[in-house]
Amino acid sequence: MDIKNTNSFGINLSPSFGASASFSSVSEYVNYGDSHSQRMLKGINGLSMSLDLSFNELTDPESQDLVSFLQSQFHYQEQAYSNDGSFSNKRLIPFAYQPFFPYKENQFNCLEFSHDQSYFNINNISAKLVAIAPSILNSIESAVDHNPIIDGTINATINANSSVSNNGVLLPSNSFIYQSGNYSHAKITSDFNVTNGNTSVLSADAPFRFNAGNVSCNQTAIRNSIYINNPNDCSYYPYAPIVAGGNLSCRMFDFRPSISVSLQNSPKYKQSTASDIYKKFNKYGFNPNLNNLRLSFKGRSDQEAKRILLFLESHLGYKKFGFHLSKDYVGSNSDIINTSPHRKGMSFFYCPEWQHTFTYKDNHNISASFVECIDY
Amino acid sequence: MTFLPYEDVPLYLAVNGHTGEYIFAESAQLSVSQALSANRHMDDQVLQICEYGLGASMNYAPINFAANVDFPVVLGPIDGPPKPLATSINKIPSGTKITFPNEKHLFFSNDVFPNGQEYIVSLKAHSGGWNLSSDESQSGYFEPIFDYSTQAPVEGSLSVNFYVNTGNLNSFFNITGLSNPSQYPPIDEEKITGHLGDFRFSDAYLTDFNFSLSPNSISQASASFKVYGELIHDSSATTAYFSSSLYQQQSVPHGKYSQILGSQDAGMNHPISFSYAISVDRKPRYSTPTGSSFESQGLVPDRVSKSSTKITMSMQGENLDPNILINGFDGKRANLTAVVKDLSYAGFEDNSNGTLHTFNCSGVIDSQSLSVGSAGYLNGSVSVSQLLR
Repeated sequence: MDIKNTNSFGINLSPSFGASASFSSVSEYVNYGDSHSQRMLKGINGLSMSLDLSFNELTDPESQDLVSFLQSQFHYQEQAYSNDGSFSNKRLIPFAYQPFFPYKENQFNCLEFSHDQSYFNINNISAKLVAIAPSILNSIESAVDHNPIIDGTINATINANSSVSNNGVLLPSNSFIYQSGNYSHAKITSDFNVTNGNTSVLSADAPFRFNAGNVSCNQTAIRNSIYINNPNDCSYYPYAPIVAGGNLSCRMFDFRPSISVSLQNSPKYKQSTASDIYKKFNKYGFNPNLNNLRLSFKGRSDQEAKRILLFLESHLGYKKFGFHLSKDYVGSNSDIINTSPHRKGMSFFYCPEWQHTFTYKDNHNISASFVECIDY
Repeated sequence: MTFLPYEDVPLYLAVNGHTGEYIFAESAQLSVSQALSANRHMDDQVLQICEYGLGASMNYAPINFAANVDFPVVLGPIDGPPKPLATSINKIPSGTKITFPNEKHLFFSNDVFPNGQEYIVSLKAHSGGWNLSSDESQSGYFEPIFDYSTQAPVEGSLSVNFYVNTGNLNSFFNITGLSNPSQYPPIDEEKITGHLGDFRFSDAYLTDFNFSLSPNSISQASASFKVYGELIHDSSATTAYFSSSLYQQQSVPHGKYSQILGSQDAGMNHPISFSYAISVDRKPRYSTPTGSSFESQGLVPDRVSKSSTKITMSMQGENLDPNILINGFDGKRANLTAVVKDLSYAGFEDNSNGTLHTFNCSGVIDSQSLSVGSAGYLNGSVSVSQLLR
């Protein structure tokens, strides 16, 4: 039997702290020898989000409202037909819901919920919300280096008039801009929102030499996120990361995991199958010992958590990025011994799934699976 | 520096939105605390140098340091790409020493507040004519000031020992009382506000109230509150204190004429001491903000629910009725009533009100005991508990 119907139209309560969001990708893999592989999402809806929410210590009317709304999503109606003969009221209609920080309003279905009546007038409700048909086409984020189609260019002179081209920029204060060709930075001290072709004073602090000239800026009106609200709050180094002898073709994940980090080693090897009893083991080939990590990023501030989540989302669960594992795990491009990965100074990963928990104010925990891959 | 004496630190309590009272308190204690834990990230005390300069090439080329000359370094492993300092660090004070192998040291030139987006810092040496090899440059060790994250809301407690006065028990001391008589369901979850001296609190919730009676002694009650949110210093909070009703005559409960009714059911004709306690389980509900954490949402609870409410009365006397199974295995019933009175002097100028309050407990005897010692008498004691809600 359903709860008394209150004709509630939505979820009007905020969940308790401890609410979490989970993201996972559905990819196709092509595996080659020596641990080379390619990945691609199975479709544009291949990056999914679900929310685990708890609404604790609710009064009876509050819980009735919430449960009534969640149950009403499944209330069956006499079938109606549209002019073309299709059912017009058969679908489980997703509802708009504004999740907790830092997410934006999206369309969700609640396919699973429970109601715990723990005492008189005290109710706890947990609900799992699934984002409906999120499209990776909504993720508009510059991959690596300047993209004139979606990025802006600032002809920057610190604390002087600076002109904007390519696209208008929306730089909130505390954002960073970087000089092209090196890592000299300037921290924006007041909002710099300038449309394409216009000029304004760029107020910023630059602790090191910052030559006047063009800088790339990801923070534009075109930038968009599938799930994150106001992605322009996040700035990253916008150029191709510089390494000895050249540049990387992907971004660096510059966030450090919380200690402790467990690094499991399960090197690949080949095993003879000639006999069930006698086994002979042979070396696999190049890149036998790629890491499969489960990393935790605990106690992160609002801003850092948002930057991590946007970074992972913009890589869509399959795009690779660079990541420094730890000070002790370093390779060399010129190493004549074939360490793993073969002749690489650093590691590259993709992140197929991650989870975010809003622990308390300005305290977020993120855990993520990092799968090492080869940068070719 | 001034220490405030007892009489200059009043305790004022009010139900939210109502006028309150100064409390005739013997003692009061107010505290709040916050659960914090230090953030620690991988290699957050390690400084690696991948280039001297601004990071244009990432080719490590040792430089000969000069004494007390600032120079920029790009942080990160040899060959790059650079890597910012860990955000688990709140601050690296200027002058913090970085120790490299082979007794080599560099120092931070300025205060550094890592934010995860700066790849360059300024360092200096205290002596000149030496350098760091590429291996040495990867192993700088320093000791920063770490950052902390909040694990739970600011919570605390207010404990007060006071004298129950006449009239209705103030609803801020009455777990089962109603600040709004027409409220439904009739469970008052309204918060208590007030101040102790000049320190204001805005989200207090009563959890315990108890008192005891014994012959020829004043009866003092105590109450405990859970306090949520931060304390605020308000130097104007106590301005009206000295003209308040607290400076009028007070009537104090006393054991001389106070009565314990129903003790005979427990086998006692002469109770010599008595105690009463009522407590309620309360849980806060905090909700997540949708915007920045600097919004007030989530700082104090949206609701502090009331669940299990229990009354416990215990008394000591000359005897007890040991037959605890008289009502079978479901507990021996007992009904106790405490009528709390003052010294009942003849005239009002003596500040006499007679009966101040009556407290009841209709429950079951859940424990009883006997004790005797040399130069003493046999004493019996029983404890009665009642689940009220």
